[in-house]
Amino acid sequence: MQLKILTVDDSRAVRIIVKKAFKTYNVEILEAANGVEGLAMASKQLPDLILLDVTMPVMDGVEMLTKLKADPSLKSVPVIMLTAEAGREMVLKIAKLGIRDYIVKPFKEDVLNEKVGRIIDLRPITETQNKRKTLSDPCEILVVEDKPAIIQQITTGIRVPTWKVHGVASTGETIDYCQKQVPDVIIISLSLPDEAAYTLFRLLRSNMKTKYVPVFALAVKTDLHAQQQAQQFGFTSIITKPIDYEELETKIAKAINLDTSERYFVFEGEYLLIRLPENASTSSVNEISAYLKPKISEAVDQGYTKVIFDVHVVRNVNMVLIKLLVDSMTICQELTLSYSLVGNPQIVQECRGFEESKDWRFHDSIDAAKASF
Amino acid sequence: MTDNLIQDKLPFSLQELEGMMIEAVGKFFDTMVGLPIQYEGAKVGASYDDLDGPPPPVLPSTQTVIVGMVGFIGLMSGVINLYMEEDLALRLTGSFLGMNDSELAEEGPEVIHDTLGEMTNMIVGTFKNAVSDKGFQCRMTVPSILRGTNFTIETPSTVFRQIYTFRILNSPFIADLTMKPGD
Repeated sequence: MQLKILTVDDSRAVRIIVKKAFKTYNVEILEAANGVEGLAMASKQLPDLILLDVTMPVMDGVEMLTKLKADPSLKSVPVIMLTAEAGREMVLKIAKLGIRDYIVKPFKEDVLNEKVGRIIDLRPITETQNKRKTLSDPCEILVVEDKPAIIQQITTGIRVPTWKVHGVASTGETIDYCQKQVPDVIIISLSLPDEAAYTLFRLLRSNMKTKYVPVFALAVKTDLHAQQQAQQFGFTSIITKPIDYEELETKIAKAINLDTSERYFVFEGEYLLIRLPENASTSSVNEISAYLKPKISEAVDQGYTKVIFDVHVVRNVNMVLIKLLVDSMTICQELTLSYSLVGNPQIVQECRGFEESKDWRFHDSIDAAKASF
Repeated sequence: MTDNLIQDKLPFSLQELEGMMIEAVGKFFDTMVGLPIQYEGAKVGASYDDLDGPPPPVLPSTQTVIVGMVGFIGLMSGVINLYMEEDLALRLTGSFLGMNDSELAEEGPEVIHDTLGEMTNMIVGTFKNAVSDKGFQCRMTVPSILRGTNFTIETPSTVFRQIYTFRILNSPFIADLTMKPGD
């Protein structure tokens, strides 16, 4: 749900600046030029927060605030005064009427965002409204690690060509970097000296810019204590060394809500091709399962009638994979889609070992599968 | 004008007032515009007490001059007029709102006047808050804008007046303060 902020200020310039300050957040900015308009707008729209000027014509901010607090339906709407009036007497008078905060003009955009973010849950627009990013979109990964060799390993280990890894060695460098550019994901090594990983995590979570950036903890596989501690602390996910890059990529994709369907679902000619990965791990099968219904529905919507399940690169058949294929075939049957399977002799052999798949018929190539329809 | 003479009229020293004005103007440009502003000094004899005849324009210019005006009333009363040439006013408006020339043109002249009014409001607000914090409570008036060429704003000689000159983007930016204890 989109939050609403009502800015009540007789200056259009201030209203423009407020709008600009929140343009990267998922909020709707409502505007009013005086207290009368502000009250009317507040009654009609029930905003989540009001930014209120003091000196205004028609009805000033103090009068509007008094009337707002006397209205049972509006009295709980939090108000931040945004004004050039900061004399002690005026501040005390307004504070007695009940405000959540006070911002003195001139003000920095960051201060406004931070104070508003303390009262309502400001979320960046990218998380909610923008078109979902895909694997072709750039992704900035910041690795905080004091061992350059690890940063180098991650840089070369990530295989998605559009993903860029940037390494920093300390808390200070991380903060400086994030001031200039907010990364899509941050990976912090838990082995930084003096428990710096936890201090840094707290700093990142208290800053409006990085509050919602996924932060991964990087720990040694055998150090279960550190992993548990990081989990309790609220790290988005734990990555263990030695790093499984396929797992890392899957976790990053999930954390930034990336649309990775193009990895598995390809529309080719008159066929929907569903490609199962080499390592059919639980996480990758879950990832495919999440796309299954929407992608098959999309295929039906576009007039496709034939589906090919390409399993030939899969290393090992396991129960999660079998279940995925059974579910997929059921969806195809429900939607009266024809389907065909592509596998290699080892896959065929392994499938015979499961009750659900013992009778499945595989083709040895995609061309053979296409010819079979 | 000496400090003693000032103190006959106001409970502040020249240095105090100068510091308050530099702080108010500097804070605005640093916070809202992101541009450095240089202070060039206060105009000696700016109260025009000793002049014969009408005083010259505060900002003589061949361009249209825009003045943002906001007053304050209370235990201390006065007005601060901010003078700038039209070209500078346009550039400052663009920086303040984060808009380019075509976006500003789309918004129309009203937004430029409104921005200059708000700019004056913020600068005078900081100055007035400093006055209030020294025990002289006062409130601000709504801003107004004056445009023209070769004009003079005169004040009675009984009122303290000081003109502070700044420079930004190679153009003069002048803060003209008139002030007296409230009635």
